[in-house]
Order: sequence, then C-alpha cells, then structure tokens
Amino acid sequence: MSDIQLYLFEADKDEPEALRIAAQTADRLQRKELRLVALIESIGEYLNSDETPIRTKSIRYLGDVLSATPPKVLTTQQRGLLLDFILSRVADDNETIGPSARALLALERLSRWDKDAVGRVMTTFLDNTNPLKQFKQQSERFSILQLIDLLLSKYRDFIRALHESSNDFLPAFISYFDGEKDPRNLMIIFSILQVPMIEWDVSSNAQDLFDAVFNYFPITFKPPPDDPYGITAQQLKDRLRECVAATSDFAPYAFPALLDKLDSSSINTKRDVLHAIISCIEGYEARTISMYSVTLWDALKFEILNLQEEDLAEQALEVLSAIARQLATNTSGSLNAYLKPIIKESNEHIEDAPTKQSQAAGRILKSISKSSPQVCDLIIKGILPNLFMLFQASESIAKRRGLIEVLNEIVESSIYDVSQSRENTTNGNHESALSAGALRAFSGEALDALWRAVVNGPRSEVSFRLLAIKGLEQLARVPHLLSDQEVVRIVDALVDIILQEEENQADIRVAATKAIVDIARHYPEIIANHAFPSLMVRLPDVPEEGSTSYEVVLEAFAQLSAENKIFDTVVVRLKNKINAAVHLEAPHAYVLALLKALVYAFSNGTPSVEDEAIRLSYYDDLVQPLLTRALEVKNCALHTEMGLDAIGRLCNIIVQAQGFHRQSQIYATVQRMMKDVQDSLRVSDSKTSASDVDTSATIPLLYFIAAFRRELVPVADAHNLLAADCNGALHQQLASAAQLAVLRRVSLVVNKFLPPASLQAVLESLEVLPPSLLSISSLSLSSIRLGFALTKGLLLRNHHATLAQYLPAFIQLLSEPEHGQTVARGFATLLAPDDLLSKENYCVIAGLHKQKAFNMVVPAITTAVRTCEVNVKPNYLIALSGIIRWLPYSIIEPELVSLIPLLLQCLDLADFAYQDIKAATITVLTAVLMHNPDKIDEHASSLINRLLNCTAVRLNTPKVRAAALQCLGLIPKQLKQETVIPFRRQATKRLAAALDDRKRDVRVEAVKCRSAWMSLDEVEDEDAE
Amino acid sequence: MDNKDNVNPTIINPSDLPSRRRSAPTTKRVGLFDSLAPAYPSLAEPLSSPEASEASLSDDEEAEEIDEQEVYDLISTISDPEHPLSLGSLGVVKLEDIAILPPTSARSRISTVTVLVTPTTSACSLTTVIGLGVKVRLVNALPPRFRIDVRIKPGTSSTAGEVNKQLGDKERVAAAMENKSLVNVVNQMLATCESTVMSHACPICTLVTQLTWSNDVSSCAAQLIRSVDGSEFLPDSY
Repeated sequence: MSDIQLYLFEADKDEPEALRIAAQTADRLQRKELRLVALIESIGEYLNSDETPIRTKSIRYLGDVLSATPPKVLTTQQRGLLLDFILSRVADDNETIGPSARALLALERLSRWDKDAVGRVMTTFLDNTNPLKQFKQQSERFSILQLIDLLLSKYRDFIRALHESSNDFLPAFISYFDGEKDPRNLMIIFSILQVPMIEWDVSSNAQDLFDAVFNYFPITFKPPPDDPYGITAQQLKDRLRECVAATSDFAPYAFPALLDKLDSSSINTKRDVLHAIISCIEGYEARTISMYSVTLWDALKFEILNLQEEDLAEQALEVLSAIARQLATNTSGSLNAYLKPIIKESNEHIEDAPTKQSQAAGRILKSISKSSPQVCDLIIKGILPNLFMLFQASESIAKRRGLIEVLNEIVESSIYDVSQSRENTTNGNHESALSAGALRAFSGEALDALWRAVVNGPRSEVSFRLLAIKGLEQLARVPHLLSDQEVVRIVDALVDIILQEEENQADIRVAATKAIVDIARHYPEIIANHAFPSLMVRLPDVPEEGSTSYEVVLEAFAQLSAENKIFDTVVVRLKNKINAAVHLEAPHAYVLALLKALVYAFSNGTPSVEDEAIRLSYYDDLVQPLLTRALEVKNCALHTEMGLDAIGRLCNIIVQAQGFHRQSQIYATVQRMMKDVQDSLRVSDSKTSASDVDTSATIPLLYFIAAFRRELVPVADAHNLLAADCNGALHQQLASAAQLAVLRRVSLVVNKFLPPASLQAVLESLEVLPPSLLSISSLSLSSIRLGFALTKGLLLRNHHATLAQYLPAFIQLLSEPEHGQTVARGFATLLAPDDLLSKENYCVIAGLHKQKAFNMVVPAITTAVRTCEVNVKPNYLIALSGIIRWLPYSIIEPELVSLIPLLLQCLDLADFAYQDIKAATITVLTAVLMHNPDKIDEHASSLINRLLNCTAVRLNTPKVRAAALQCLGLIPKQLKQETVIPFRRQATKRLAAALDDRKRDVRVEAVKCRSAWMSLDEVEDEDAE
Repeated sequence: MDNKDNVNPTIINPSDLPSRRRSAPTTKRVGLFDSLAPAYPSLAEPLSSPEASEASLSDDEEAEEIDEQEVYDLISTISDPEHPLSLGSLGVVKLEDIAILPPTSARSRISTVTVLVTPTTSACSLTTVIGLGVKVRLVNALPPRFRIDVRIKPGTSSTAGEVNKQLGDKERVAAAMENKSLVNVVNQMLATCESTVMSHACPICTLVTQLTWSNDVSSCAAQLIRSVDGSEFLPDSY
C-alpha cells in the first residue's frame, strides 16, 4: 500500500501511527526516494473524492508530511508550487479549510514568504472564506486564525501594504471575524485586530473596527468547569479593554457607548465600564480626551455624589483624576475647561455643607488635586476663596465642620503632591514651591480658622475639633508653607490640649498627641524648643501625693521619642527626672511611671544606631548608672521588683542588639553580679527566708542572660548558673518575682547555652531529671515548677532525649490525686509565649516544636483518659486544654475526631476552678466551627446544650459566658440548616435569659447570638416559599 | 412628599454620637504603657488555686444594669430604610429620648423602655417602618421583663397619631410582621446591627498572628513593654 493509503487507514484510529507514516513519507522525500510530483499525484485521486472526510484527511496528510520535512529539502520552485496547490484548494474546497490552513502553516515554517505570497494567502482567504463564522467547527476557525495571526506578527508590513493599496481591504478584514463566539478564538481575534487599531490609519473604518470588538462588551463569559484551554473571563476582559483603548479614533464611539452601559443595573458591568474608561483615558491622546472631559464628568459624578458602591466611587474618582493628569500635559485651556464645571458644582455642594454631597465634593477635589501640582493650584484657587467666605459667614458648628472636612481633603492632596514632586525633581523644588505658593495665599486664613476651632471650639463638639486638629497637622506638613512662628502657634495649641483636656475627651488628646508626633518629624527643633518646656513643667520632681496628672504628660512625652532627632533629648530628660525623683524620694509610683516611659521610648521610639545596633552609649551613660544605683541604694523606688524589672528590660533591649565583641565586654562587667546571684541562690538552708538573702540582682541578671548570644557564655559558666538556679528554685523560699526570674533563667540556659550532647549529663548531675526531680516521694510545688521550666526550654529546641523523660513523667503524674492537678495546670505553661524566649534573644526555636509537643502529649492523654479514675479525669482534660490552646489550628485538625469528644467533656467541668479551661476550650471549639463545621455536625446536640449551660450566670465567669455565646452564635451559620433548626426554639428560649445577664459585655454577645438563631426561621420560611 | 431636606439630612459624625466610653470615664484608664498584655499562664502563678478564682469571680459579678445608653447602642446601629446610614447618625434616635421606667409597684418586675423616634422629615412616609424596626429590635434584644414603648416624638411628624396607634397595638404589630415584604425591609434595617460586630476571624488563627508578631525585632521590643508593670507575671500580693 502507498503511504497515503496507510495514512488514510490509520488517520482516525491511531493518530501517532498516522503521524509516523507522514514522517516516513517526509523522510523518503528528503532521501530523494520520492519526488514531490509523485507525492502530489498520489494524493490527487483522493482529493477528488466525493467524501469530505477523505479529502480532509488527504490534505491533513500533506500538512503532516510538510511539518515533518526539514527546511531546505524542497526547492523554492517546489515550495511555490505547493503554495499554489494549497491555495487552489482553499479557493475550491471550503470543506477542507482547516487542514489547508494547517498545511500553509507547515509550509511557512519551511521558509519565509515573500510579499507576493503573503498577499496571495491573505486575499485568498478573505475572498473565499469570508465570513469566518461559516465554518462550524471551532478547530477549523482556530487554524485559520492561527494562520492570520502569524501573517500579522511576521509579515506586518506586507499586510499593511495591502491595506494601504486598497480601500476595500480593511472592511473585508474587519467583517471577516464577525460573529465569533469561542473564547479561545476571540482571544486571537482581539489580538489580531489590535494591529490595525494601533498601527494603521483606520480613521475611515474606525466605527466598524470599534464595533467589531465592542459588540462583545461586557464580557459575561464563565469558563466551563472542564475547560481544556483555561481561558478566563478576566483575560478576555483585559484584551477587549486594550482594544477599546487602542486608538483615539475610537473616542467618538467608545465614550458614548461606555457611558450608555454605565446606566446598567449590573454592578459588574459598571465595574467593567469604569475600568475600560480608565484604560481609554490612559490610551487616548490628551487632545481627544479634552473633547469628552466634561461629558465624562457629568456622567461619572453621580457614582460619587450618590454613592451606591464604594468601589465604583473609587474607580470613578480614579477616572476623574486620570483625566486631569492627561489634560495637565495638554494646553491649559483644556484643563481649565474640564475643571471649571467641577469647581462650580463643588462650590454649590460646599454651600450646603455638611451633607453627603459636600463630603463627596471633598473626595472629588482631593483625588483630582492629587493628579498634578498644576491641577492642585487651580482647585485651590477655585475653591478656597468661596470656602473661607462661607466659613466666615456662618456661625453654625455643623456647617464649619463640613467646610473643614473639605479643606482638609484639599490640603492633604497638596501634601501628597509635594512629596511626589520632591521625588521626581532632584534639585530645586519648582513644582512644590508652586504648589505651596497657591496654598500660601490662604495659609494664614486656614491656620486662623483651624486654630480658633481647636482652641475656642466648644468642648462637646468632638468631631469638629478632631477635624481641626487634623487640619492643623496637615498644614504643618505641607513643606515650605508655614513660617516657624506659625508652626509654633500650632504646637502651642496642641500642647495645651494635651495638658488641659479633661479625661472624657480622650479622643481629642490622642489626636493632638499624634499630631505633635507627626509635626516632630518635620520640625524637630520647634518641638524640642517649644513643646518640651511646656511638657516638662508639668512633670514635677516630686508630684503631690496621690496625683496622677503626670501620666498623660508622660505618655505624650514618651511618644515624641518616635522622632530620632529628638530621641536623645527625650531620654536624657527622663533620666534626669528619674534621678531627681529618686533623690527627693518621690512616690514609687511616679519613679516607676518615669521608668516605664523610658522603656517605652526604647522599645517604640527611634534610638540612634551605630554599626547597625542601638548605640552602646545609651547603655554606658544612661542604663548602667541606673542599674548600679538600683542595686546599691536599697529602699528606693529603683530597688523595687518592678523598678529592677524595668531597668532589666532596658538592658535587654540595648545589649541584645550588640555584636559579639561588645557583648563580651558587657559580659565581663556582669561577672560580679552573676557571682553574687549564684552565691545567694546556693544557700540551701531551707530555713533561710526570702528577706535574709539579697536576691535583687536576680531580676536584672535574667534580662542580661536573655540578651547574650549563644556562643558568648561558656558552658562551664552556664552549668554553674543552672546549678545555682535549680538549687534556688528547689530549696529557697523566694519572693515570687525572684522565683519567676530564676525559673525563666532556667528555661533560657537549657535552651541557649548548653550543647545538645551534654544536656542529659548536665541535668543528671544536677539531679533534676524526672526519676529524682519528679519522684512521688519528694514531689512539691517547687519541683513541679522547676520541671516545667526545664521542659519549656528543652521543648523549644526539640531536645528529644530529655523530653522523652519529662513529658511521660508529667503525664504519669496526672493520675496522682494529690499533685495531679498542679501538674495538669503546668501543661499550659509549656507552650505559653514568653517574650524572653525568642529568636531575638538568640534562643533555639525549632520549627516543629509545637508539632512535637502535640505528638508527645496529646495521644498519650487521649488514651489515658479512657481508662483513668473518675476523680482524676479533670486533670487529663486540663492538661490537654493547656497544650492545645497554644497550637496552630493545622496541628489540631487531623486529630479532631478523637479530640472533639474530650473538648466537649471539658465544658462539663463544673467546678469554678476550671473556668479558664472552659474558656480556652470554647476558643478551640469556635475555631473548629470556623474551619471544619462538618466535624461538629454529629455532636451538634451535645455542643449546643453544653454551650447553653455555659451561659448560666451563677456557674460561669463573664468571660466564659461571653465566649460561649460567641461560639453559639456561629452555629446557625456554620452547621447544616437541617441540623440546627430543631434546636431553634430551645436555644432562643434559653438565650432570652442571657439577655438579662448581669454583665453588659455578655448581654451584647447574647443579643448577637440570639439574632443569629432567630434569623434561622426566616431562612426556613424563604425555602418554603 | 417634600423630598428636599430628606435627601440631605444632617449627618451626625460618629465621634459625636453618645457612647459609654465618653459619658462614663469612671472605669480605670488604660494607659499607653499598659497596652494590651495577653495574660499568659506563667510558672510563678500558683499552679492550682480554686479559691483565688472564686474570689475574683464575686468581683466580676458586680451587676451592670441595663441603662439608656445600652438601649441606645442597640438601636442606633439600625439602618435607615432610605439612606445607607444608621438611625443614630441621622438623629432619628437620640440618647435623651430614651427613658427606662422602673417597675410601678414593688411586686412587679416589669420595667418600661420608652423610645421617642424623630423622623428625618415631618412627612417621612417610612416613619412607621422605622418605628417598627426599633420595636422589633428591642423586643428581640431586651429581656422579657421590659415592656417596649416606641412612639414618635411629639411635634415631629404629621402622622404621629396614626403611627403611635399602630406601634402601640400588639395585634397590629404582629399583623405587620406577617407581611413578607415588610419583614424583609425590617430585616434589612436590622442587618447592620450585628454584621459590623460579628467577628468572622478564627480565634486561634488570630492568636497565632499575635504570637508570630514577636518574631519581628521591633515589635518584640514593643511586647516587652506590655508587661512592664509585671502584673500578669506576678501574684496579686506584689
């Protein structure tokens, strides 16, 4: 059999085999065993068949052979012959059009076509296959589109020449694609049509060309679930939008058509329209846009003035701003023509202020002003005279508030605009000077109006004064606008507010403080010279007994540390204040408040940096003297536990950030302190009471140990420290702050400073491994605490060998009637966050330590709880709750099936001591309801009943009651309707009691929860309808 | 209907609305320096002490009576059927127009809540619907021991008499709530009461984000301050 016969035989059944046959033919062509003429002749007889499938397959064969033929096998003459041959098929036989197009693609790959060939291919298709939609098969059209797409991408000039040589070409070309519906083909058509749109002169056919694409607007296509081509509606929308915005010639058709569609009732259509308009504005020439700018304003303003959907309003604002941006590049006449009606209408709305429209006008003016400094100037000149006239003419606070609102929007846009132009222009601020210039004419008036509103406004008019404060802050932030005297005036007014405002106007004071902090960024000297003295006057060396009026001043003062240029002044003044207060024996609360302010400054402010770390001189000059004084002078506020704690934190913040070298210098200076602390902790006479041993240094030492790098502390030192700490924790009656410091240090040392290999040996030598530490005979609160402190440090670093001893021992102890509950409560401390055990403090924090805790504890507990005695069962539930309350949901999720029954049992813990367990459990159950409601479905009845029980006043704390109500309120939404509806009556009835809860916060939750349950009924009714 | 001033009603700024925080600053001020400090269990806490929690419970249980502000908070968030604004910000319900009357006799438990509604215009056609919405909200949200009396503020509506009759009549209110389209309007109005506050964030996930917060150097420092007064790490005696 000849190749063609074999191919025809296999074509439908076995495609790879058919392709192999075609490749074999190509091979014979290449080896000259087969001549091209013979090949064509062999196909010839089938091409005349009456049966379409045979003709189709014959052409396909030819195409496949050509695809498999390497370039240069066929001569120029032969290729010309083939082109003639295939084009004649195109002209004669529409039914084989798909394979013909593919054969042409294959032929083109063999060698580049000349101008004549391209012209012939293009015109043959346009003349003989127009319109494309006559071909019913999507794949046929796809092949043709691929061919045309190829022509337009590789032979763009030749096709363009066709267009330029004949007026008839483009109309035929446009109408050719008419009526295509397939998304994959449309993607190609949009891209093909973009070529003439962007590159050719299409003015005489603009409307047809526009309609050819706009007919598809808006795209409502939803891809079928098994779409093999994966074309999304968004891709179609994007490409269509590019077409619409391709040439200014479309403007006369595009804008009316788009604005017409803006009246659509569909929000999505409106979104697409606005998006398309933005593209048009960005794509068309400014000259064109200016012809439509007022029309667009008239249509788009409604989206903002009569706000329906916030995102539509934002898009409309974006359009208005884009128009201004474009026109600013054009003649000033066109910009003025656009802005004039906007300014006129805004002025009208401003006259009615305060209304929704006046607010909207402010928004419009702001977004348009932002487009360029020039626009901003015009807006300022057009609006502000009228605005201030209205302001002066009215006594109404409401009206003035509305006007300030608009003023703020405009001033804000000039701040934005200046910072932008500053980035753009490297030297000289031409533009910003210009912008401030237009505002400068009004700055005095604006400052007066706002200042009076802040200073003289009635105290009860909160929003009015808030707006005025914001206005003052913004004025001060416009560069080159205000003189220093004017800024001083603002700062004085704001400081007065901070000092004088009564407590119930906290909003105002917060706003004033924020404003001052912001102004400090721009005018640090003015703040330092004017705000500081006024504030410091209110910070006495010794406040009157019982007075707390210094608190607000101190808070404002501490916040000023946010600006680096005045940070040093802030902390030095605080330090001096502390020294004076300590010296004059001011009340402890005052000294502690000053210390807290210092800690706030270092943790939230912007201290100076040196070699990429906080400047060490803060430690040498400021913190270290404080520490020395705190440790040396007993009976002073610094020597209290809270004082030492605050100073410790300061040390931690600064030391932590230092490099190894500087840390080792500091380490040397604290050796003495370490030794003293260890000596005091080694005294193991249990009769020694807390007061006999000076443990004050133990708190600051904790913070140093936390701050040191892992490699800094030698193992021997760490071992000694751990030994002393363990001894102190076990055998001394420490005050609880010191005890906590010791325990936290234990966690830090086992986590950071002991190498993993030696941990087992060290702990054994100290006799703190479970067999000795946790043996029932010697078990005590102290030993349990120490055990958990050790475990906590080990758990963070995932030290399996020791964890495998501690954790099972603890679980074992849960069955102990005497100590079981103490141990159970300890589990909650294992994963509880501790701000010292952190990466910043160089702790080893294994990524999977929470997973590990879960795996080592939870399965063991779920097993043990099944067989345990009833009286110790709560211990297991408490321990379980203590672990899982700190776990990410993803860790709990796989075990939900076994956990949910236990969680529900936790809710049955009736004793008052278990309230925190209940609250934590409800949190976990709430999370399950959010993520895996299906897992709860089968437990619905028991969950609902238990949660309802948790809302009872006498048996539950307010926290539990509120949490239970929150959780319960999720049930109607999260569980299946048929599951919950049976409980509706019972739930709403019992929830009525919760509406009368003694606590307000609980009642708020009860109202929400009950509405959720009541709304169930309506859903039911709607279904019935 | 004269639409003019109804289209542009005066809007009260949220910060000017009455709120509990501003009217009753008696509770202890939360200072800047003791900003939110999650109370994590620590080892120094006594690991078990039922007595302690019982003691704190009685403190917690000091009763907070339902007052006018609370009633206001319940109804001020209802949306106006015409404007996408709340009744509070439109001044339709005002704190001073809410009164709670104690039981009339010692034996009765029934208190009365009176709410006077001020329509945005005297000719507002939706006055009845607004009144109905307020009534439905309070009936559902207040305990049954309250009798709810919603009326139109005298002199603010041309149809006050008719509307008051309608709202005061149990049968008529019940009949109105049988009307599907009316129920839908009322539900729409009440929808904004809870949606703003109902949290849809998973509590565990939120917790986790709070915790990972500390991975950042600067915010770690910020966390340090939270417990600078040591309250959550130290026992009460301290």
